[in-house]
Amino acid sequence: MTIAALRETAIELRRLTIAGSPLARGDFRLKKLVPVLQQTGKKAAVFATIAGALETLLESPKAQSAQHLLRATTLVNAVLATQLKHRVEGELVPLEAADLHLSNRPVAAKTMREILEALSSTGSGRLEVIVEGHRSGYFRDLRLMLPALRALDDRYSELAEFMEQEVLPTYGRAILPHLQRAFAQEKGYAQVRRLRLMLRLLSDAERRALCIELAESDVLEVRAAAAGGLTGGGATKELFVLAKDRAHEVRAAAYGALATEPDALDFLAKAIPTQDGQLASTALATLLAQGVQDPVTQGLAEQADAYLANVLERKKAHHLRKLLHWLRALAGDKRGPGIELLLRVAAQRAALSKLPAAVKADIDGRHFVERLDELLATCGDERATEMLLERLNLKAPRHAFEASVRTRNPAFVYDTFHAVMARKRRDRELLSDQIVCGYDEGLPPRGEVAWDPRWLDLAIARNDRQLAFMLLTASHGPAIQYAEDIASDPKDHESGDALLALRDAGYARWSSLLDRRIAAQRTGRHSTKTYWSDQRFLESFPFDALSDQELADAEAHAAKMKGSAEAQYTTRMAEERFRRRTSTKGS
Amino acid sequence: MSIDEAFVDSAAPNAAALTKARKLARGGKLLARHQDADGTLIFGECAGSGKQAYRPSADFQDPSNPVYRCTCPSRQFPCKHTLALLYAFASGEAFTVADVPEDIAAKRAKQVARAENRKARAAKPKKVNKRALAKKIDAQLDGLATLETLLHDLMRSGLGAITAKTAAVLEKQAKQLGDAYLPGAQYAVRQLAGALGADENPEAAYDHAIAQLLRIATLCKRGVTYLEARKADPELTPDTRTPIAAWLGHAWQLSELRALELFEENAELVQLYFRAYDDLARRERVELGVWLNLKSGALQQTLNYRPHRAERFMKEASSFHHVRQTPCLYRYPGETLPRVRWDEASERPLDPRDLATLRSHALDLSAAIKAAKGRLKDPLYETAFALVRYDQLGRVGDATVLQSGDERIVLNDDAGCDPMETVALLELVDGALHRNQVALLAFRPQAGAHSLHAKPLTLISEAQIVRLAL
Repeated sequence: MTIAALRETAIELRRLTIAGSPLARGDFRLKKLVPVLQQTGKKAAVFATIAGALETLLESPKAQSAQHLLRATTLVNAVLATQLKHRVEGELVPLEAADLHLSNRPVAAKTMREILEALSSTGSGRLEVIVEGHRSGYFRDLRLMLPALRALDDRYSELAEFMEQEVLPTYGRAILPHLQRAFAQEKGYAQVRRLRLMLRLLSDAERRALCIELAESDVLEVRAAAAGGLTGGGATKELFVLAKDRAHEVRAAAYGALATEPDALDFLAKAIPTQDGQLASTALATLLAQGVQDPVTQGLAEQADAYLANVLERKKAHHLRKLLHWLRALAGDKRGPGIELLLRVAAQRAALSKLPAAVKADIDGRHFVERLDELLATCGDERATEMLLERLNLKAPRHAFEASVRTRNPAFVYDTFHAVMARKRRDRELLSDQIVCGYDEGLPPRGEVAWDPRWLDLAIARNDRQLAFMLLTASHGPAIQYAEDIASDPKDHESGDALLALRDAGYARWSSLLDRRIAAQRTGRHSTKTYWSDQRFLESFPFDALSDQELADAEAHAAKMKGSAEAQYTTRMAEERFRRRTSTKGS
Repeated sequence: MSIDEAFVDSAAPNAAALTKARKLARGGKLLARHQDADGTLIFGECAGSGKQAYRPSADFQDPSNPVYRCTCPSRQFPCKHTLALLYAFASGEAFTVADVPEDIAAKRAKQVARAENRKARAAKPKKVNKRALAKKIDAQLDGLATLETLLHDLMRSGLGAITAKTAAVLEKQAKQLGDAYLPGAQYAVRQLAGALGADENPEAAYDHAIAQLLRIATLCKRGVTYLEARKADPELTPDTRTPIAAWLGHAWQLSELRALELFEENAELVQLYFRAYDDLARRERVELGVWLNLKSGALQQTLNYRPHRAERFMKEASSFHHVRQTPCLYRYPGETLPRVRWDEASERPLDPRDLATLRSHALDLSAAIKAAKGRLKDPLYETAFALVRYDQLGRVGDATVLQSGDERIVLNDDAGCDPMETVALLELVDGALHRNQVALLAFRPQAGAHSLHAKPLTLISEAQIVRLAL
């Protein structure tokens, strides 16, 4: 009761401080409280003192009212401070421990603050600070965890995505409750980032349960992310619904997920003639590539045959696209029915190529047979290669070349195609690029292909550097000399590529060549062209492949240089050295 | 000398220098790395923008007072080149043994001479011009009288009648208080102006303003009592029992504190909390450290003020993770959380015995709450710190609670002086820290709720100190 009166007194004094102290004289509400305090004052003297202070205030003239109001307020607040409640009743539930295993490495507050400001402010240069902080392991400090989670909302999307993809996954499942809480409260793209991160951290069963829950979300991106997360079985029903969503992004994600569901085979087959034929054919091809019984593939091939017959009989070009979807879908099956179908369609090449474009179709017969040749080139069947070689045209050898590389011996490939290298530059480069890059879907990965050594002689004779670098072997003396000459010339803008080729070929003296190059760079004058080649060289250079001694030697040379390009050498090498030391310490 | 990354971090004048230094070290800009035979000097060469490489060095001849030198034109010490050198040393790079360069040897000799001169000057008793001091006290009394008049005017007009004009009057008054040798009172008036002009909930603004009015009233009352007592004393001795002199704005000199025997020999301190913030009323960057004195068990604070105008030319204080050792620890007047300073100091790594000592100085929660309430009833304080031992951290309903014996307190992020969210971090720390450990808590009353809550700042186990705030 007394404390209540005291609190009431504090409220009245606050009111008078806002209204002005002269109003305290004879204040009715304050006067009412004095007897209560006087009564308690008989037991505790401090209340009597307060009552006295209030009486003085109530009687004070305007001139003294301020000091009396200050005195009374000070007194009341001091007593209330000693009466502050702090207890809380109820059952105490222990906190759950997070299995984070964060570092307790002491980090200077000024360093942490810089990262914290980068996470919570706006302006340029923030991402660099964060990337550097992540690389230095500062995000293993507990104190950055909550700001790091909030940075998922950052307006600078690169920063938010870096947090989502690089930083936050390192915390593991411990951040799931925080993500879930924030996800439930927020909208917008940050919500999608949270969802993607959650899907990455949840177990398969949890992930599927969450995705099923979110499959009906109003937010398109959330539905798409949920569809993408419904992989691993048990959610085909939901995926079928999502595959009919009005938004293309959602449908694409759903078909992507269905590519892992054997139960979805019929659904995907039925979807091929629809507007999502391309999505369905890609998914079906992935599914068939995982291995499906021949009768199933046979059934699908029969449906495709029906399309082929329809196209040929009715000469309707608008069925060509659907037929192409079938072919692409069955291309996933590298065994029987898929290949047979492909060959049957290829046998009708002449008839199909003449079909004109229909009004609604976006491909005509000519385009169709181009796509058909692509499929023949990559199917790896000898009969398909034979078909392509029958129509070999050295002006456009691409598909025949790809098919031959897959199915014929290296000598045959050289004998058949080397003449292309004597043709116009465009044709020559096309073939050269195919061999060099191997990026073309048509060719198997680099290491899986054996090349006839005559290609290397031809490349050197024609000064086709990229081809020569790609095929370079340490046992080929003239080729090594050729590459070494280029690598030793710092003015040559491809010297970096030559050096890398020598390294990849296992050339023993390549590190001394690197030293020479760096030393030459130190004294040389650099054109813009050389500068750009250095940039490219640095980006692709595998510093991690250098031995400790090679790294130290190369660094010793580079450290003596001046200029921006050289500084990058030293930076990259020193970074590598730091990375090694850190990883050694860590292990 | 033990140089690790934490040492380099704490030596850096600011975060930018540290980042640049790290880049220099990683970028292979250090062209030469040497140390002298007895390991007290590290020096080298660092490529810079000029033709000639810079020659940074770190001299630990006097470990308590390292000297950083560099031939670069930077006004920061240590500069980024010296920090890069230290960083390389801390990272375990190879440093070859070499003779001390001649120029550094000459500077070392001068340094020794300077240190001796300084000691001789410090030993001389400082003369006090009593007449000038008496005049200063009169000016301070006049300033306080004017401040009191302003305060009473504000109370009479009422906070509700305050306009933009009032803020201008307060600013003018603050300037006058600076002229009257009362920078502490000047700061309090600027804080009041800030509270009145704050763009927040008007009710909360009134609460802040009232707290500030009471603070100024108390400052005036105690200030007048103190100054009159000092004036009456023929020796004009300052008050050494309360922090009133510092509150009024007296900048204590170390020689004064020594003369008043406010020092402790061979002290060892462990920092438990650090915070750097901009104080708009002071117009300064403030760096606050809360330390535990291992010998006495008292919590003490360090305060580093850097005026905004000169901020980048002054060394930034930072968190400190070792044990700070000082032959002479100077203590400002005041019983609770007194400010401390030192002239020279060294450091040693924190070991488990230090942690055991730290933990042994922790209070029971009930004693800590009682002490906090006692401090918070004084209008001059708004936060109280205490090192508290606890049995368990847990939840009661939605509230996170710290329990010690039969006593409990609600942990709340609004309860402390720090904007970092620390309560949520309790769920993320190692589970072993949830039971039978020690915490540094900040206590603050919750406006309107008539309750006292605490904010956890640091947890201390037998194995580690876990800081929850920056």
